[in-house]
Amino acid sequence: MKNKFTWGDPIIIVKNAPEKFNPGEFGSVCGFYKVVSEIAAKEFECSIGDWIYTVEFQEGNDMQIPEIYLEKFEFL
Amino acid sequence: MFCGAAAGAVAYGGYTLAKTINDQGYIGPTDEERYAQYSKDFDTAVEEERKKKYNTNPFEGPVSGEVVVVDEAGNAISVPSGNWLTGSQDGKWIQEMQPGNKPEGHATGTRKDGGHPQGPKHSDPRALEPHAHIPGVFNPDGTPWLPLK
Repeated sequence: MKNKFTWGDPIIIVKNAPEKFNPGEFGSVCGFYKVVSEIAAKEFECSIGDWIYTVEFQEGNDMQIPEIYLEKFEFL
Repeated sequence: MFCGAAAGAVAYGGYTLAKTINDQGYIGPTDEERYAQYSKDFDTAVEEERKKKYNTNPFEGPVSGEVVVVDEAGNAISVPSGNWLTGSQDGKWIQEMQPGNKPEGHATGTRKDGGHPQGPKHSDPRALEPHAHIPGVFNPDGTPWLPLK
């Protein structure tokens, strides 16, 4: 499975994401890698083969978030 | 045949006593010569394996010793032994990774970012331009978007 987002993409954390991933927050993609282990899948509450993204929020802090909890942010 | 071969060896090398003679009368290398050859082959194999495993390119996996990656503008990222880099082919986005409790590793927080899109709430202009992040290092105003050359 190919990564859905790439560097610089604006994203929003989906509303039903676990609280620890800051649901509803805006951010942008700084990096990504694929989940290949059970340990990572468990840590990020996703599946092996999913992508993990480094997301930077507007204040400059960042977090590792699985792709399943991200949506492309569309500017109105 | 045995005598002929042994005589030939005497004439050739002068050290037939140390030579091995098998059932067919073949005179082979001495134990010392065999050991020297094995030792040489072993050293060659070890050296080849060492070269194969010694990685100086952080984009190909954990580096075997500290390396410093410098872009065309002179911005440098020091990559300690065991860490590696991921990023875009054009070098605008680079993220340092370190080993951890899982094979994917952990992001160290050291990054070169190509610039973020304008956010819906607010955006610091320094975040929109290419910048760097180093854990624990901030601008005088406390913001994390460090300037690049």
